[in-house]
Amino acid sequence: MSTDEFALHDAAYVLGALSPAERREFEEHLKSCAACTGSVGELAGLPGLMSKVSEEQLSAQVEAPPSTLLPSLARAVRRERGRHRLAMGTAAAAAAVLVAVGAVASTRPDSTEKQTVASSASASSGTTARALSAVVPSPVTASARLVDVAWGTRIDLTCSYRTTGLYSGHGVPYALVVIDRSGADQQVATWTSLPDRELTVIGASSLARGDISAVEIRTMSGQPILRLST
Amino acid sequence: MTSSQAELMRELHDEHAAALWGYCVRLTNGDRARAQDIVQETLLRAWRNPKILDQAQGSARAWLFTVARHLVIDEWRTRRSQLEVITAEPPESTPAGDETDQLLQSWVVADALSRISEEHRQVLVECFYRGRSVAEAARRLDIPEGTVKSRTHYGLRALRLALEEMGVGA
Repeated sequence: MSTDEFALHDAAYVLGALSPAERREFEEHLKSCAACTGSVGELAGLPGLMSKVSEEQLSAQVEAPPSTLLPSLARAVRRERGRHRLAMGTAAAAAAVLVAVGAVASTRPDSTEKQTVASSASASSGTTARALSAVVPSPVTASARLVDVAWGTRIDLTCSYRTTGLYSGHGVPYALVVIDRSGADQQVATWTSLPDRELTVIGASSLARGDISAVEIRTMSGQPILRLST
Repeated sequence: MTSSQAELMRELHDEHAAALWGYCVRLTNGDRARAQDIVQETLLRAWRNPKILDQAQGSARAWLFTVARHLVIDEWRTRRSQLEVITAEPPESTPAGDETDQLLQSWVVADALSRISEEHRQVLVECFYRGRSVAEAARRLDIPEGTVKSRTHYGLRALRLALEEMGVGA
């Protein structure tokens, strides 16, 4: 027994669990005991909070989270990491586009010289630029030129975005994909749309030009929007 | 990086999914598909901001509950505004914010109660939730009355501490 026989009565008192006789006794004691009055004060707010929970809520069988949750979280984590990589890839592609646009702008006064430089560097030949045809309606129009190079095929893509009320055309990521004769596809560039601007995107594939059956522009979800069959 | 990120998510799941699941099932009125979406989004947000979880466990839990509640409220508002457009009906009179506020509090308290020891919880359930006297609780739990008193004394303090950790002052 502690020096104060009432020292442990505080909680039972605020919970309303003391018998009427004990309660009267304890209340009498409180008048002369600052320590017990203090500890009752410390606990007085708890029954109000506890009453927000029902007994049935407490005794309800704890339901385990569904077994599909963890696998689904793991997928989300992988997806999200993929998106980070994609975002970095897109940023790199955007930087490449800037460089390409810059190069085009600086050589535009004398585009024949650019052609000469390109062909002398790689002794290339290639198709003339051809327009891609729409697979689904979209604000994007583009033309592409496939150029043989020593390491495979370079795809010079020129594309522009029509901005209308429907399409703001801003910040939408796209991918350039080449498809080989067996139907396998290969993403060769990604970029983000800029409204009312013509962009030059350079794609690079290790496939020989003759092995490429088609070039497509796709959304990041993989939906083809423009296609050029070679 | 790859495995540690996946590992972090597994730890989050093991630590918090059960508590969040119960809460979200209640928040969504038993719609388990929506509850799973909300638990998943909540844990993903925690995974993206692991600093949040460096706090005391109780505050981390309180943060997760709050995020889940906000997700439910946002979703509710979106559906309500869509409903308004389609049916031009007046918005429901039930203020979702207040309702989920109450629910949040009740789950925080229930969660705090689940963190104290079984012995402490037992006496609080008997003496408070079932309205039994110290003497009745002693008989039912087969322990001396003095033990019931001391367990309520320490149990209620443990509960107060758990609530404080979760940001609820009593």
